[in-house]
Amino acid sequence: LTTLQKTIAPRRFLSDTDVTPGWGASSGWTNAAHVVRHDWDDPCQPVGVLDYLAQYAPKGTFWSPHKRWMSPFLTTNVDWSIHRTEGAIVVFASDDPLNVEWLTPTINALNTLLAIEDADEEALSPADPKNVSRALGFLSEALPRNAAPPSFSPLNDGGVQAEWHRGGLDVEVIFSDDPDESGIYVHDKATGEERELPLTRAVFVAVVGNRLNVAA
Amino acid sequence: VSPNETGVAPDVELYRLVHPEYHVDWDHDENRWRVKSSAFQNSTKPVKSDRMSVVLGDTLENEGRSPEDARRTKPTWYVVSLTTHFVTSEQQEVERDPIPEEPAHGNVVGAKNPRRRSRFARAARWIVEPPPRTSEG
Repeated sequence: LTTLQKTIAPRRFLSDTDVTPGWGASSGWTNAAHVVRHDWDDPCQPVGVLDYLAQYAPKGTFWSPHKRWMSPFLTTNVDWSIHRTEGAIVVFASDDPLNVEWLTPTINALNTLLAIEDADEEALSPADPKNVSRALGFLSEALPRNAAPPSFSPLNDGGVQAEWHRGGLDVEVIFSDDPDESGIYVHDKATGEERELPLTRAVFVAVVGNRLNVAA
Repeated sequence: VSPNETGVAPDVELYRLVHPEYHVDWDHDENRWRVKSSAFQNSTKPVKSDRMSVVLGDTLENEGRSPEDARRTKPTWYVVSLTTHFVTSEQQEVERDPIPEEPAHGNVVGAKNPRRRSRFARAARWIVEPPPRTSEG
């Protein structure tokens, strides 16, 4: 467990003294360290932290550290929780992340999207943390344990695109504030059929099933 | 072959630069590199627009430059091509827009929703593609 903390969550974990002064129970806010401490007695372990810079948070958005949802991962019996805190998104899981094929590569890739500097590349924009959080939440609900990790790219509106090209399918999932962008886009390579579908777990599971799994 | 309203003939190749990290993915079925649909977004910098930058093949040719030289301004990026005929069939227009660093610069103008971007990606042909992959990941 110590190794896990050091390798995957290198910052501010499990330190009683590292709770940002002024952020606490009275304000309803805390930081990542506090969240981890809060959950330490839970069966879930921290498996990753997604950092983002506060200035990229959309204006007017309230980032609550207690915005938490548990996603019963029916196919694997892994419990997940994703916490959005000020400056970080903390991912917890009740299972070793190494047993979930796509998780660690996904966290690493999403961190890369968050770290894009707005002025650095004229054609790229950093991912909006809200859309990163959406992506993680969706994938934790919809992807089986042995699914291949998606490949991610940033969208110019702060959105996040996840995609796979395997199992006879081109699958793109777009997380965006724009309802005309968000959705599941599937191209069947054999039939040529294109489908534009709503962004729901049920639809994803029905259409994609286990076709994105890594071969045993 | 007649040119479109902005003087670009349907058979002119349009070269699009592809980010080496974010805009390529491996197709595990076909064992080849794919360009992602996200490579075909309209520019939002400095302001949101309905324009996507390309390098016009006829201007390159007139200057004696090869298609590979389309990435002169971003030498680490890859290059794919689409035809003017294809993009106009997708309700787009092509305009010439020379800029100091790239006299062959142009724009593909029009709305590009996710499905259209996906069709762009499937129609694109590699000009400069990532190196061969040594093992499947």
